[in-house]
Amino acid sequence: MAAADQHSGHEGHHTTTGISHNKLLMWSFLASDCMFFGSLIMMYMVYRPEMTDLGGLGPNDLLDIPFSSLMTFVLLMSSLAFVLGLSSLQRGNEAGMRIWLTTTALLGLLFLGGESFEYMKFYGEGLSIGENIFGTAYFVTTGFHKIHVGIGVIWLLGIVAMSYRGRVPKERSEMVEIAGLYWHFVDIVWIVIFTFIFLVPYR
Amino acid sequence: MAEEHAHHPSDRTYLKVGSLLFILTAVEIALYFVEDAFESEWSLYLLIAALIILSSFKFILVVMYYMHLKWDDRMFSWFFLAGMFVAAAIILAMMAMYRYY
Repeated sequence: MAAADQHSGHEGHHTTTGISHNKLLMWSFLASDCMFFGSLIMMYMVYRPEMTDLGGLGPNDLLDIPFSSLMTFVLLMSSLAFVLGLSSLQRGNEAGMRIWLTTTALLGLLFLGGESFEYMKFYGEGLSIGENIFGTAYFVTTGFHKIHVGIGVIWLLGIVAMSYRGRVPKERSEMVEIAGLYWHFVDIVWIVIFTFIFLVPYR
Repeated sequence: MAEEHAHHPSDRTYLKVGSLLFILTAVEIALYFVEDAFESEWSLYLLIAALIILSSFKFILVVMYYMHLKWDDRMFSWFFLAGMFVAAAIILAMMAMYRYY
């Protein structure tokens, strides 16, 4: 067990539960965030039947599936880049970790840029957060997701900056793993949003 | 995917999971673009079920492999599952409320 921990870059967990309390804290936060995003997505689904005829400003008129699909691929690939970065650090390759985490942050920024472009396009068409029920449900749900992505990008760039100062060695890989839990959660929330807001047909 | 050591999968496994996520998303998008072929009510429900199953599979892949729940202590899984369970209960209860009142 000790050898396995050393190999994976884990510190020994001398806690009352025998597991990392930092990771437990992050998992508890993610569990509560499930309820938060679950409620937002539920709100969208409940009001979706009322969004069929909104005078050209409804989901059927505005949602751009090919573009959002591209953004989905970008976010999925950012998760892949992150795990490759974590894997590099666990092998003691700090430079590799920095490259992969910077790639992850750049993909996150690309996602935010793309989604902001879509926001501006919608706004140009006349849809604002208070325009109709679709505007409110769409901007609130995806807006909170974008805030999460933005926090994730700042967190990742912070880790890269700390690594340049030698403060993220292999032995402290758990701090990167915890940031990864957050980043991957943002990814799975988008998986659900993409399915229920963009793809599922409502007739 | 049997080459994992005690705690974390290899890069090859990460790449395999990434490829699978890519393929599943492509299938979801393809289903969306043939939506018009699902004219009858039952076939529409079939399409929705397929989209939800594909999405759930992607969700599970990320949680198990990228978030390491497959290898980590079971306590983390229980914490997350508890949150998911309460979230599902809230969603179902509120949908029922909006549906009937």
